[in-house]
Amino acid sequence: MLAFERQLVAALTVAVDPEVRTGVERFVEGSLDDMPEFLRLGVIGESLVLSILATMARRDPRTVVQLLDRSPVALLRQYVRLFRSLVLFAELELGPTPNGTPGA
Amino acid sequence: MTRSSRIIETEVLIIGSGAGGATTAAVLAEAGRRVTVVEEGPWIDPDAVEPFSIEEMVRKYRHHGSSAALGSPPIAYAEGRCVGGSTEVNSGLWNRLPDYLAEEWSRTYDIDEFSPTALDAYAERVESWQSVGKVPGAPPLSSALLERGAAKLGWRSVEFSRVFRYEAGVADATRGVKQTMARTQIPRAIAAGASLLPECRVVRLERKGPRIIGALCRQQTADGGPDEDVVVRADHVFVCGGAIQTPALLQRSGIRRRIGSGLKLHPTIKIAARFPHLLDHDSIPMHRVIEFAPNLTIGGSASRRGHIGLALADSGLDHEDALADWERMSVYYAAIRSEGSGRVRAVPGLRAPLVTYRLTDGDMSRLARGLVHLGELLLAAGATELHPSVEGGPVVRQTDELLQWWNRVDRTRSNLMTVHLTSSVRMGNDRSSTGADSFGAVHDFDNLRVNDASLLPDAPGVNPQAAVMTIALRNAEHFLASP
Amino acid sequence: MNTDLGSAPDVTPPDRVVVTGASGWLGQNLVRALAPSRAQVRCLVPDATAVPLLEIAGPSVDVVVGDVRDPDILDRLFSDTASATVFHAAAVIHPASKRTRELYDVNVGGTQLVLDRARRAGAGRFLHVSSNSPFGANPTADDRFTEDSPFAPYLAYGQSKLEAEELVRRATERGDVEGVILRPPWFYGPFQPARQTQWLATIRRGRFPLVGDGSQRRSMVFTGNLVHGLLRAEVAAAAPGRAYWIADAEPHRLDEVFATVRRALAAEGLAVSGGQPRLPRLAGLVAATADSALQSTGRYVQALHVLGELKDTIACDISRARSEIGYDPPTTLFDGIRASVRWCLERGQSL
Repeated sequence: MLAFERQLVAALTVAVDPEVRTGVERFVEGSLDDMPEFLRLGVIGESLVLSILATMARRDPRTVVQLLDRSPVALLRQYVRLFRSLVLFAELELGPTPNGTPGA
Repeated sequence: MTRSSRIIETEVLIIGSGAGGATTAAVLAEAGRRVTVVEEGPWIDPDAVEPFSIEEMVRKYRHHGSSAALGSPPIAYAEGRCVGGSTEVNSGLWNRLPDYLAEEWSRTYDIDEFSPTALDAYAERVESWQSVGKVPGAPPLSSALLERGAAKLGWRSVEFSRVFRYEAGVADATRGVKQTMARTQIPRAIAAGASLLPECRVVRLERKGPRIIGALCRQQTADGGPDEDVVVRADHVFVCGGAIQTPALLQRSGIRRRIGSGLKLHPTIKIAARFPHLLDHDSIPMHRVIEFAPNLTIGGSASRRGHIGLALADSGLDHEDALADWERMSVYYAAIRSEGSGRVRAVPGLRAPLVTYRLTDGDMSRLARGLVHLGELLLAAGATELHPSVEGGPVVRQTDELLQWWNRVDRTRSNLMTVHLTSSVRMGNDRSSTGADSFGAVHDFDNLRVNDASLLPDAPGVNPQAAVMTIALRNAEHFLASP
Repeated sequence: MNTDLGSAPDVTPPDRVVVTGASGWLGQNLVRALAPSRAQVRCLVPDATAVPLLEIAGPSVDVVVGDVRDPDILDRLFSDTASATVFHAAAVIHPASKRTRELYDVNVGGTQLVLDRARRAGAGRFLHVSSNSPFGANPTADDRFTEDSPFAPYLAYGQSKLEAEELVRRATERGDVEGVILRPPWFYGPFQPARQTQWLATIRRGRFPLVGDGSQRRSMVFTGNLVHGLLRAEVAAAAPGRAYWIADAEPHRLDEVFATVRRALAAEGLAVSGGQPRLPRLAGLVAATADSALQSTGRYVQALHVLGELKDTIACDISRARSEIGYDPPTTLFDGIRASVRWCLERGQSL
């Protein structure tokens, strides 16, 4: 998992509990590792380009997420949606429900 | 890295232990043949993992449960990867291949002995092996809502059967045990003498002229040590890896004629619907609205909190309020049969094949229509809020807002998925359109067969497991009867 | 079985009807034919500007404004219309969006929604206006399409009209509606759209090209003849579950069609140029290829589509409609074009 991707996941993860946050990161990392290679290569490519642009523009990952969400380029919206889906599913499955009981 | 290697001699090698492979293994082993089943995925105790949980996605699915066919738009899909294959992770819904499709395929692809009557005989036998039936007692509310909405609109709906077993006297629809391959056909095959090698991936088939002389495999070792090379020498080979892995393996082995093209899916669009009352979240609805079948069917999806969150996120709109109310929500879908088709292409050096799918304008229109009909149905069933899996929604609360969805379902904003994958090899005597003959023997080979969903000439418009097992039994017995 | 019914007595038409596509070329003619004799003519139009044009046809006309793909609008269209005959003419031929997707949404999606509402409302017969397009072009100039000719849908429009027919057939087979499919070819007649007026005007100026040698045959249908066909299909005992070609008595050579147009214009007192430019058949082939290529990317260019079809023979045989439902087209091409020209002139449209 690239450093930029790790930061992106951290920015997308809402949960406060450190165990849940670790679990989310592990699930996303496992999913990226296990992805079909050509999809993973595509994602890596986008991650590299975005990380360079983000550094140059001095934008933090949270802002990057917001910009990507509104991008007219479908590929970029799909990129952030991919990460968001993985994070969201993991959070909801691993995190406590609003009334405090663990899991779904 | 040094690898140890060994050679296994067997009579019949079966690659893949899903609906097709497990059925083939059980039938052949019980007929006294020496059978070896290799399965890329691990053996996982069927009781060990909660269905549709994150653990299941990690352990029982290929690619952690997410892959996609590239296209405009891309279509997400998932494949099981474990002993029992996709039957371990599917809904367990059971529907025989519709008669008119059997007739149409028999004609179009010139398939011998493929009449509805012939197939029904095999289907009955398969159904006698496992417990097939409707749920005992009342169906869960998430399912009953489909029937309720349909009745209000005068639309036809049915309750599908499922392969679930219930203990005697149990009238609770949620307490059944899904009769997967790992619980049924695999133990049956092993009891009849078949051997099973999990975590053993076939890299390539070795051929000499029209014969397959061996399979090169890589076996993961239990202690985390280096993988082992295994060569399996068999008199006969059945490839049963499913509509993606079967053509990929054949292509890797240099077998390409009519292999990998013509892939068919059931492109699916979803709505996360909010109701004014609490709903259940542990079963997949067994009711289906068939008013517009076979080209369009409406049903329900897994609706644990994670799935609802994902479905809500698909619109990209604010949904905190809805997510907090997830216990009153459930995810439903409209699935189509598509005119378009796709391709599976093995890429040298890459483990996973490249999968692409092309949807026609007619397909996109059918999906839009499906979303509108699904919306009508859910509103009639009492839903108060509909969140479509279309970027930008909009969220709909009344019938007069549905019109907007027609123009919103387009190639850039639709989030589509499929649960079924078929037709990447196809069976029949018409060599211009099929990769295997009427009984699954790959054209121009003496001892190579396919026996899984890739044989179905088209997407069936219903859950394919019944058709796959029926055809697998038919083909396995044909093999036994040949000299 | 059905030929026996050809001599069975007609059924009585209901006093209520529902017309979709009421403000279209066919619709305007149909509503005017129905209004005097029916207690209720419930019309669907996409645009509010069409309302006065239809209400003028009579007090029984009742107009609903909305989109044929809109479930809510269709609920309103069909409210209180039990046993009404449904004339489903709403369709798109030349998509305003210039995208082929619209053809499927309206022609297939709209038909599905209307069929569903018709069933739920307990409608009477369902008259579905189809097209020659599901059949493509005839293989030779002497070939004629019959009701059993094989399907060969011409591009996206043809595909969408074919799929719509299949929906009507399936609904009829399931007993949801009593469907009759009518297949009219190229229209001419009053309430024609601008593109048809332009065609007449361009022929008058001697500028409309003849593609090829002009020997290709075209069946055409005068709006009055089509309305007559629809009204016969509404009451003929043999009609339910059947499909019929509805056209003028005979197809004509395309050069003859152009010549007839010139004669009709002259008979209405207009000066007509004798010029007849020609384009080689190749031009039509090139246009058709370009049309096909564009449509496969979802795009639609009307001029290319029209030019592509001008080279073809599209001709049908109306024997079945004659024998089974008593269809007998009263108007000839010459008289029908004259009526069209008169209609244009009466409305101050310049030709």
